Amino acid sequence: MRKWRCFFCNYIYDEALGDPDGGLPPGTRFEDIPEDWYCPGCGVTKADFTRVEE
Amino acid sequence: MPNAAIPDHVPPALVYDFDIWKMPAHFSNPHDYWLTLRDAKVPRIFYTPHHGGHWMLHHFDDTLEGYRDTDFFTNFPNGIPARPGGATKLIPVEIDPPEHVKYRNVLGPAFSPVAVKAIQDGIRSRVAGLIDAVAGARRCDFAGQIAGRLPTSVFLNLMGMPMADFDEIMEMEHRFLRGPDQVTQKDGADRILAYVAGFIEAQAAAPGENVTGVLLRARDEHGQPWSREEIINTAFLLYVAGLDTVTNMMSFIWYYLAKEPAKRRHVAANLGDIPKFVDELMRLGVPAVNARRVRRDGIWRGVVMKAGDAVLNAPMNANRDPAHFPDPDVMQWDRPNTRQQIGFGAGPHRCVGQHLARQEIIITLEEWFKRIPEFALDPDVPLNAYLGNIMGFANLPLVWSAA
Repeated sequence: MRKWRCFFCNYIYDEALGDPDGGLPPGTRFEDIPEDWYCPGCGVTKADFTRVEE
Repeated sequence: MPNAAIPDHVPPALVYDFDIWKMPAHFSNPHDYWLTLRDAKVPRIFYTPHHGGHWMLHHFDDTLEGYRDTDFFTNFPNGIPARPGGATKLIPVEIDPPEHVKYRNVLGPAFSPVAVKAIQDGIRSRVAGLIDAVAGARRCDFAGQIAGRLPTSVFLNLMGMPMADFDEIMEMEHRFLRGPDQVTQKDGADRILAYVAGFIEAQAAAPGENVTGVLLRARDEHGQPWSREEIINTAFLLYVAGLDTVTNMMSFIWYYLAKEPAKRRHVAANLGDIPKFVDELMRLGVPAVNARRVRRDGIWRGVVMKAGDAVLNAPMNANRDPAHFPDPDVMQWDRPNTRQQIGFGAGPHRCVGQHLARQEIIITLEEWFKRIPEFALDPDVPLNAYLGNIMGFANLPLVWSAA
């Protein structure tokens, strides 16, 4: 599964973990995150995340 | 406050004289004064002796990291100069992680994109009312009549406070923000605090579906309600943090649009694209700086700092750093990285009201340009600017030929 990093706070969105507190069950693909979801670290939206290359 | 002696750990080569509270008289726009820091003789990270002495982070990479690095920097006290000793911490801005998460978890949903979307229509009708009230006059003080009134109106609505109290609140605000001396300003702050405390007390028995209700219903990780002091402190901070910041960001944006006919006409011709333009406008319109304090002795990005040193993040300058934003003083609607602007800060303390502020500005641009596509600075009325932890215009005189 893939990971994405928030530009502003470095929070990592890990698709394997999701963001259960934010309504995203484990396994939620980044593409399927709704536009109104916000970063649990700093509040920005998914538009401010970039893919973490592994 | 007299200048501080330069501490022994600060090398002379890193000292530069810059006063965040006072600019030479020939500047009319505070941004122009701050942008003198781009001069080649100014150290990348420097120490100024004013207001107790503090470091300055003004390049993009340094400022971004200054916000992110909560291990090296603490948010308390949050101001230059620091408030008198023993001051109560402002919640959540002066609470460090991980304790800060308790507050962010409650405030985040209350100011989320979904929550802001739900109040868009109300904001739009307030904005329309403010603009309609001035449109026929062909002139206005944008700072006083539009940008200075909208955030208060939106705040009252969010908190569930009665609109009938608007004028009373504006009077308190005026004393707090524009009082001629510290006694008047403190009186204004005390009155606002008393008003907020009284309102919360009155709502406690039956909390409504508004932000006041959210605070009254908030529980910590042990299921315990927040103390009344925490609730009042948070409500007060939400109020004061959203006043001059949004007001001045809007005034800077209208100031730059008034001075740029081609850019202004592009906005007027593409009203549907305003949500795409707004990030570039907010990149240019930054009104605030944000102080931190060093937690422990160490070397930070090559500079020796000592525990207790004050450090100031300067996001306006960071947003004008040519190393990150080429041709940084030019409005570019297709700038590829404009969303990386840090006018709302970064890290865990990035402005909790960012989505609300963004939406207030989008809606005001839309409603303004529908009615007043052409406007200019009034050449007959001098601008009155001020500096500090918040910078901006006390007035922004605009004129237009037809509405």
